Amino acid sequence: MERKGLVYIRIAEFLKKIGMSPGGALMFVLLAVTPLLLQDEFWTRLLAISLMMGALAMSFDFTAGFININNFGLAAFWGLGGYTSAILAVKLGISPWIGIVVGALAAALLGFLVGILTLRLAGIFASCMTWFVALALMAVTTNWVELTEGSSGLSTPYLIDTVSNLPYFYLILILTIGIYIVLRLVTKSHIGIAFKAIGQDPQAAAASGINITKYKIFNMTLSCALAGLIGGFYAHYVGVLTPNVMHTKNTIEALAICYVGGRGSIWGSIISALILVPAMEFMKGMMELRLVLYGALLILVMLFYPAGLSGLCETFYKFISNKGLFGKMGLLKNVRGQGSSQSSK
Amino acid sequence: MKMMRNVIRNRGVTLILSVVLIASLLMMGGCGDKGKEADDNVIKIGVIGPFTGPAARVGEEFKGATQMAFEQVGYKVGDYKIELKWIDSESDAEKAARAYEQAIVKDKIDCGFLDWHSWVSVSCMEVAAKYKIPHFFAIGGTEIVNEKYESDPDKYFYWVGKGWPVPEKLSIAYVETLEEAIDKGAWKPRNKKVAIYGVDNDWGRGFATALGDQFEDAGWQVADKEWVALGETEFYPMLKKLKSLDVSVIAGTMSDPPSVSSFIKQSREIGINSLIITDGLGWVGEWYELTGDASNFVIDQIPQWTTPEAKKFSEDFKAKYGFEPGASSGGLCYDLARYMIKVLQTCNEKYDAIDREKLVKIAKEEVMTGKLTFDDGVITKKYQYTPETFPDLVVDKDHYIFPVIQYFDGKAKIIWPEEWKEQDLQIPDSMK
Amino acid sequence: MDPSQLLDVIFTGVLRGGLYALMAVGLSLVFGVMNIPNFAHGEFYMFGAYLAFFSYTVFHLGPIASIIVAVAGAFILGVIVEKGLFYTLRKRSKKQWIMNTFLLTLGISIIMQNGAKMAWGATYRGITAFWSGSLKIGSMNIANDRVVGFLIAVLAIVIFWLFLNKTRIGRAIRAVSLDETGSQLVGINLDWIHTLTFGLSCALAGLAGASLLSITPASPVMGIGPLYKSWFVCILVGMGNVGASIWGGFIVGLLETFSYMQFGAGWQDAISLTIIILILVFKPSGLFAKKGVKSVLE
Repeated sequence: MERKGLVYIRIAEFLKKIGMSPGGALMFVLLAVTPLLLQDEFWTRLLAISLMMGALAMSFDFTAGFININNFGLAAFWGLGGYTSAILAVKLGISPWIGIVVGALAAALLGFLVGILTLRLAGIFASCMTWFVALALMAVTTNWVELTEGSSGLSTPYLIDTVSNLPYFYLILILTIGIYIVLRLVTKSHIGIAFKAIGQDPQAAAASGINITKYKIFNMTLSCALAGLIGGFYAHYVGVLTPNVMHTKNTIEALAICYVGGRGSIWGSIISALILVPAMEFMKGMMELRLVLYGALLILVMLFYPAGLSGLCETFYKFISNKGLFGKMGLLKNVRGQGSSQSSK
Repeated sequence: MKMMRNVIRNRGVTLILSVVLIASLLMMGGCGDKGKEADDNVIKIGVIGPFTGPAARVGEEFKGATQMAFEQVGYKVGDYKIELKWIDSESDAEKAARAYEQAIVKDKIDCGFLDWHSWVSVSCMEVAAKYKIPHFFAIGGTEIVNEKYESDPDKYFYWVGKGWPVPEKLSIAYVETLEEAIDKGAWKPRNKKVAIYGVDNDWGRGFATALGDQFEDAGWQVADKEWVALGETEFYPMLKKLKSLDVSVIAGTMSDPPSVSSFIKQSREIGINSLIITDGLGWVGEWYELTGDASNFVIDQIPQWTTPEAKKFSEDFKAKYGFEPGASSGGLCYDLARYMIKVLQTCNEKYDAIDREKLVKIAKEEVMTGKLTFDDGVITKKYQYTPETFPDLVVDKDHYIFPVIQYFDGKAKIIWPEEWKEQDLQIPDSMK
Repeated sequence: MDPSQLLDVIFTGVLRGGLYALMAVGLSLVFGVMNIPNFAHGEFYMFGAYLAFFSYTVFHLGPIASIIVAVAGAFILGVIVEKGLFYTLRKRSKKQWIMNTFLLTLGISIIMQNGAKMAWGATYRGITAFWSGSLKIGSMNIANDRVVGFLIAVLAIVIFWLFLNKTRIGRAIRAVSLDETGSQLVGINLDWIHTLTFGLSCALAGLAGASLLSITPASPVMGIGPLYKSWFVCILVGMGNVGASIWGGFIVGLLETFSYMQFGAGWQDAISLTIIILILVFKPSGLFAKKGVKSVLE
């Protein structure tokens, strides 16, 4: 018994090092086997897209939930990554695998620039700035027909020469896990604490010696790079790109997923994407009503539960522990102290 | 010990979550499974259309027209019952491909039908090729679809034919109309300058660029090209610019009614002294309520409700769905749906059975070779593919062509081609 | 560019600017007084257009009566939205107020757009003209509708300006925008002022939508364009600066017309966006920054 416990703790220790909890790891493992169990191309595709949106929402959360800037132009960075990779592949014949990385770098570069631009601006104005940059980028993409084929759309080569969705699913699963680990590690470290401090009160953060400039730019760059990376995946998965991918409505989709999942939790975004994206798919028969409900959900979350799903889980957990389930084990104090730090603002 | 506590804490939260998540996933998967029992005597057709989103209007027309066509045969071909599955593209390439894949995997559709946007066609072509599902008569018409087909014809032939040819095959009619009028002395233009405009999307750019080239080939000078954002309703600056260029013809296309009607009205307000070609003014039924008499003398190329059958369809549609269908969306869709029915019937007669493989065979042997045509259309005379034109339809006066028309008081008068002509090209007094 | 062309540019720019100003004033007011970045502003514009359309074509009211119906309807809807949502949120929590209301307005926008599509379909509902005929000014004809629309906009802005500066209620609104706590101390009922402000802002948007019905037919997604433009204007002159947003409307109108003439239609958005971005970088509090306006900088 003792030994078994020890092995378990070792594994848990390792997982913790890479920013993951045993439950989280278990969830990813379950996710990985789900397509094998279901043996259903549609489900595989749906899960792949859900994961992609979840990953996008995570990179949104990384700025929105930490330094408190809603990157309202996220879809444009996503699109920039996709377009860069696609154009390299189509015009220069560069392999999409390299293209995706270059796309991520391009998005990172623009993110870096936007980070500098938004440096001085307060919350909503920084959002507007990212939004305007995104709109400008979309206008350029539409008008630079020689390069992007404009709105007729750019036909892109596929990443993997296969008809099955399964390889794509595993690719995006690996990407998502990678992004999750990176974001968790960053936000759990001292950098994450600095982010939170900046997000809550920039002046106080500056007064306590945090280099706001450095952290803000780093945050924007990383978040945009990840969005660009996911964009590259999208471009070579769907096979066609139109400037519409940069449309604000895609940002809003990521935003809604992030907020329903719970701002500032990172993991909430994945869970909520895995629920929301399939739910929207299955409500397709309801036509417009489905989008009305979508809007209503956003409003309800903002009004009554700003902490979102992750907050709900924390509360649920606290409720259980208060009932004495874990309390009997004498763990209560510790739990309380940590449980609230993740979601409360 | 402290670490142990953390472990338990995290595990508690995430375990609950993952159990809930997986349970819900499996539950949803289970629910979907119910539809899996395929009935041998039911043919399921997946109809792609923009049923929600910015082009929902077209989607509504698709739905109505397709239903009307299938109602005529009582949703029956031979012993087979026809079932339509609506696949909402939401005007988005990825969402459409996903919905299409869902229809194939979950609803087990036997074949596909229709589509409006070219980019949706491109992403769905891949899915059709993957599952070897024959997809008939998607309207998405621009070059990008042809390019994709030509990149690997053996793979993409499952995308059986486009219901709309590449724009330049149709637009040449405008140049011919004007040239004919000039030759006959019906019009003496003060110069041979033309300004080109187009809505800033695949359709507008493709069409207007092609039209400009065709004007140049006919000896005209293209003085200016203007691209207009989708939904733009403010044209004073552009029109002032065009006016100052003093061109004889302003030609182009816009696809959304607010833009088109504003463009027409404002061109009159500004006092544009040129012939105006606006491809797509009549695309939605209510255009005249929006433009009023500002649309007089405007030239368009659009299928007309000319034949009694066509008029009847338009009236029936309006009676049933409460709005007037556009000839090139609702009307064309109606024809293509009946062409689709003919394909099904032929398949049934030839093989005494309908299924996916047999439809592929029919597509390859009958439709693509030009044997199986549809001559009963309300919009144009004959729908036919040939190996040379595939994936486009044959476009000429005896097959698929839209008449060039000129509007007067909300009525369209056909001015080209000769066989259908109702009157000659009319020139406003101020331009004579 | 020759002088007559320049005159045309100025004319069209001013006509265009009138609408932008009307929209921007409402947006700016709500931000100044309530701290709400309203992304559903365009949807109230749409709502006004629909109301005017139905009053004019279905109930056969005259043009003026139709516009009045639209304004009143938009006002009432605004009041309901404020009382139902923003009031609730304010009572529950004021933490992260700007961000939370921003998301709330996004939700409202999604609901209104799709609700309109459900209720009235995707059909375009427009009219040829309220007042047919056109007016000859200089070398160009301008449709009566645009002239009247412009006059209505100017009139509305003037009345609104007088209301804000000369009446007790108007002064109370301004007081709240300057100092919330202070105005509470002198006995201003905050809840009431907030509701009124939001209603008025929506009424202005509804007015814009209604008076432009003949130019932009009513359809569910028609509000997006005016929304973008009014945001540009507000950022340009400084958020919450109601007076300056009037001038901002005309500046953006002229700017767009000018870049349109010079560079062609497709690029005008890219150009005006670049200018806005530059302004945000070098003068983030707007061209007409003044004290008392909500802070833009950290």
